[in-house]
Amino acid sequence: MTSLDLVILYFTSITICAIIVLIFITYFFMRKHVLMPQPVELVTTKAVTVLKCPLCDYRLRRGFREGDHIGAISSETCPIHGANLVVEAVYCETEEKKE
Amino acid sequence: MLRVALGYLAVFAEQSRNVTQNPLYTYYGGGNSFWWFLFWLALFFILPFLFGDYYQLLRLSGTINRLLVDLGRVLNQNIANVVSTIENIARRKNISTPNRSEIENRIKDMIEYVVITPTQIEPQGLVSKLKHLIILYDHRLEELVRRIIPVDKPIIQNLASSIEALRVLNYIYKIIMHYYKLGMKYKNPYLLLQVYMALPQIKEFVNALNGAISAFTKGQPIGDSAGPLTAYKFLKEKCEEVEPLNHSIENTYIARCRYRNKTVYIIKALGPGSNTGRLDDAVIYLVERCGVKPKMIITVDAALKLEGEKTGSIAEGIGVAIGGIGVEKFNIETIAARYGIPLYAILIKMGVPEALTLMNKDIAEATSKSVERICRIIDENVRDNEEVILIGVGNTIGVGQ
Repeated sequence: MTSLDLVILYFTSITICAIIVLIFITYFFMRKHVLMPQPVELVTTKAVTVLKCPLCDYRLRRGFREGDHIGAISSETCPIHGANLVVEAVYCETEEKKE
Repeated sequence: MLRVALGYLAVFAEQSRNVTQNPLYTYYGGGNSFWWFLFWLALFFILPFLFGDYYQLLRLSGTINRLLVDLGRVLNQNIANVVSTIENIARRKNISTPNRSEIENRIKDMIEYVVITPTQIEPQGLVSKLKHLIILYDHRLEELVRRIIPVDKPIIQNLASSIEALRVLNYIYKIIMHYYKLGMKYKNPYLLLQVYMALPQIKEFVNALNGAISAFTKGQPIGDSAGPLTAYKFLKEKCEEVEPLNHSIENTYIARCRYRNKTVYIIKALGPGSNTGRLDDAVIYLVERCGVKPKMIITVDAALKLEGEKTGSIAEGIGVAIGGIGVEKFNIETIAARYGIPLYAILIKMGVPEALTLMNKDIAEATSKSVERICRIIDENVRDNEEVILIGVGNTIGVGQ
């Protein structure tokens, strides 16, 4: 291999390296998730209402319905006492990826 | 593509045997050309310095432009959601409302609503002026919503809060647009860099507002409701002889109850509509008008956690745990200092998205733990037949009494 061959090889490798570095830089800058957190709507959430009997510890867990608020008296009844259940809690259950 | 590349390499290997005929050799000017030297000098040293700002401007403007498109989409979607909620309520309650485009126009007018803060060159009476403006703004917003759909107060309050969140979203959009246009106008990447650096936090806050609007329209409790929820749980689970007090303080619930031979006055915003009540007025009413002599005032509020802190962890301390502009905090501190009342605070830690969106299970469980903390504080510091004021601070949306 002559010295001229070495020069050509040298500049060719610089060019190839530069292109690879450029591709990597572009990829990292264009990658959306590096800078932006996941939108809220993409996380699966489910609103849950917990109803409790005022006379015993009976609890009923169901999906949130419009009009549910903590302290509201529901139309559902306790199977033991027959009393109307009271909304004890409303919260969301998020299905998150385990790290 | 791979075949072409391999073919090219084969040709290159063949030609490299004869250096003078090598296409790369000719391309690089024979290896010792002056022009070749200038080319590389320009590529590595001159161009980046001359056009570096321009490249940066292109990259930053692209990212911020995408953020603006996203923000505009989120804003329009949420306006449409609020309009649909109003239409659904009107249909369910059989109320006549303006048509869809008219409602949309009115909401767009409302999100441009401005509140001009009072002058601060003379600070005398600034707190009362601020309070006056806040009350005025709340009344005005509710009045504007009532003109679109005349329904019950809790629904009006929920819709007004949704529109308030839309207003904040619109303001963020306008601020980012301002810096984007300014940066492009003067070709200055440093103006865009300010937005770029705060981009993750902006995006997180926008997502939180997006979730807040959804929770407000449905009337679901949010993370900030942890304070009123704690007061509610204490009232229902620990107290006896609960007696709501009659008073004229707007949007505020005050109850007197007995807890282990001690009298506890519980103050919270009147639910389940979205509002934060007039907690300072309630304290002034109890201490100055009703002659209550509290042994202590306990405030329970949601507090922003630092990264690494656990959501739902509880911190205890002294002082008044109330966020916002500071009007209520100032008034409660003033009255506590005047009468020498000790101030205790319980903070339930959460992040910004958790505070503004539907309450999660960790926070719901933390409220039960904070009730136990309240009991312990009262047991340790208050003797029989003494009085305590407990304040559940925060937005009471989705929490009754």
